Amino acid sequence: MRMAGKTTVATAWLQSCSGCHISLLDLHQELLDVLELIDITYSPVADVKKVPRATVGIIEGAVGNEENLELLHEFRRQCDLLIAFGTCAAFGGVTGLRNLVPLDEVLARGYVETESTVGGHVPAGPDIPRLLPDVKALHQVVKIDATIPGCPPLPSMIKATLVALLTGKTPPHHTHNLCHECTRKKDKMLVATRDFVVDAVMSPHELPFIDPEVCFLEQGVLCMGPATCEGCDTRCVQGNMPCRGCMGPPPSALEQGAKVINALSSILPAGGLMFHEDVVGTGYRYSVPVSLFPRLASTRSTS
Amino acid sequence: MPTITLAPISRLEGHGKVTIQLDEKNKVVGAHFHVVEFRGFEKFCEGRLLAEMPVITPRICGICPVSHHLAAVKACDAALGAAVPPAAQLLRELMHMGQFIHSHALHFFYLAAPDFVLGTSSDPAKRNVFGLLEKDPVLVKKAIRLRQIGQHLIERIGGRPIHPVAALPGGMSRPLSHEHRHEIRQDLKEALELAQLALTVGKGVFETYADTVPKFAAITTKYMGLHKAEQLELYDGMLRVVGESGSMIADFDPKDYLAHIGEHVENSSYMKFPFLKALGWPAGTYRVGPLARLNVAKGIGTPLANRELAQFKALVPGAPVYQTLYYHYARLIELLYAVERAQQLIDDDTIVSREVRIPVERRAGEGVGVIEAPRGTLIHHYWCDDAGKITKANLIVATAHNNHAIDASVAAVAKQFVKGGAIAEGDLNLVEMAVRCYDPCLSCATHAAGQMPLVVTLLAADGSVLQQVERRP
Repeated sequence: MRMAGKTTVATAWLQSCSGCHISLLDLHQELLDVLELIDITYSPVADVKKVPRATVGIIEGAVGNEENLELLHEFRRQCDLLIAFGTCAAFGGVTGLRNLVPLDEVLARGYVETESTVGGHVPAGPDIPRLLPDVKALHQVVKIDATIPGCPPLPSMIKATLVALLTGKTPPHHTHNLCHECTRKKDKMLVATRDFVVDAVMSPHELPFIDPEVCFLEQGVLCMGPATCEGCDTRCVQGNMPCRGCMGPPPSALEQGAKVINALSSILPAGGLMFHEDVVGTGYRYSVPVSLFPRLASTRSTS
Repeated sequence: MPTITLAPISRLEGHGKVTIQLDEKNKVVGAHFHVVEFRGFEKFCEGRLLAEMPVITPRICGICPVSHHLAAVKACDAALGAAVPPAAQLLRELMHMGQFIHSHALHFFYLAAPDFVLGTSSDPAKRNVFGLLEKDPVLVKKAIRLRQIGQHLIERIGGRPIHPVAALPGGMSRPLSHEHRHEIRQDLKEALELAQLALTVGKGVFETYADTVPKFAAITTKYMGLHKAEQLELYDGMLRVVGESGSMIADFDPKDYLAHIGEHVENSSYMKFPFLKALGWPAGTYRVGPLARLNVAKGIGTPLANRELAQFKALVPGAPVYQTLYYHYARLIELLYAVERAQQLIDDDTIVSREVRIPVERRAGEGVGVIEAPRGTLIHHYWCDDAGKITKANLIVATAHNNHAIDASVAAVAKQFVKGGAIAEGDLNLVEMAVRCYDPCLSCATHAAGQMPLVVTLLAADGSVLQQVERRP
């Protein structure tokens, strides 16, 4: 089925939800245009020893077990260009939240302590791979040539990146934070004042009214926009819910969670933020494996 | 003991593989479907904010994120004692119908149809959605359109097609605009035609394979699913289990699931094995998903799907339809129901009400949220403290309920096709087809982009390799 003139593409997924691949399918009719340019020679579930030579390798998901590790190395050997596809691959993603807890406690909860489990034990048969102590983003294991962030990435961004790579152009590159493309009104924050803009941190469900036109921060709701890379069309914010940072940090920010605390320190009473909200689970939801602070703040720092 | 291992080839990739066990006389004694993935949501959700669970847990599955989104928000509502306004209930259920349209269309056209339309013994390199595209581009374009309608429906209500955000404790973050209502209505008209077409294609296929269907991977089991007054229900209702003969074994409020359902652990898989506590392991295992739901339901509350249900039930008069391949048939009837139900919901004028949420305060509590995901019953159970943080979380995902049944179905296929301690390469796809009936999340999405390669290793009692059969993409 390989045809002349088409670029060979291999795709795989490691530890993730498959949402990035579904987002690729969400190109719908446009997927047929992309298929004119590429020849998918390798599908996700396949034998690592037989990953064929391919021009482009696309990997969704983070590295969480021994099999993931081997497959990733094999892709690096066989592919000229390797793309980290989606936020788990790029920053660890939600999958990376596992790093907050020692592995034995994660397994004990899953297979022994859960309320519905009867007489459980941690599975350890020869047919299932051992988990790594820490979940890793792809670039922490091998060299990555391009990244398509997002949980999942927008179909249009997937297409734009692929087409650019296939035609020798530079893929789209975003440098601003989400506030840059957000159209909500920001009034109070722009006025110089000695007072905090809001005096409490709320969850959206606690607000009497979620104003669809005013900046979430001005409504007292933690929004990850200031610490999150643009490029998602602000879909959550348009859905009248705050950003949770799934695009990962903009290139200028070292740590996404620290960046948002820094950005909010002049708006919110920091004590309220720390007390009420889950700093690690919200600020670092998508980037624990590539960040330092969550590890220091987690139970693992004492273990 | 000799063992045949079917690795798709997740030994090194990671989502599922199959081992077939033989006895000393090379007779099949059992099979295991190994789920090799584990991420640990039940632990790392501890300490997260309760209200964030509807946004965090969809990341369990990118194919049915709406189901996790809604099971999570229902558990939050229960924990916080929130009464959700009628418009929000309609919007949530409508979004869920979008999920069924997308997921069932994906499964039938992208994953299952290549086997049926192109033939189970056709060239494996072409036996995928791309091969189908070459053979019948018109059909594939219609399939793409149907799935698109489902995803657009989710996006218009949930804000995004994958990992939606709009459901929050107490309701929805925004009302439905009249413009979106109009667009959804237009789309659904088209979807109704496409869903009927899918069912026509499917029924033609099942007639062609009428001889194969009764024997293929057939097992008799118990069945579990939600129902509302004995009608098919995907969003909210009572959980019922019926036995092999169709008689009712249990009928309970889903919030009491812990009194009825336990989970067994095996070394062979990271996926647990749910069973009915009253009957014990493994006697208490059952099936969930489209086949189970249609076996639990006595009727369907939409006219076209209800007529199809009557035909479906006539396949096995007076007892549950047990043929595993009819999961595909049941799935197509549900697809039709999802479109018809979506039309009912969008036609209800309450759905454009501006009152879509009530403010809800934090408090300590416990809540269970249960929903029928495309693949079966999905259970989220949270405990939270008065700061609004999760102290414990328990999750039973849809595919897990079918874990034991998948093993049994693979064993049934193996008994048919493993001869003299060997399996022919051409029969590998049949093992995969048995697994695919259940549409397990873990392999189906990966499978979307092509054919699943398989390797069979036949091991003698001393562990030496007797035979290796391989099928490459």
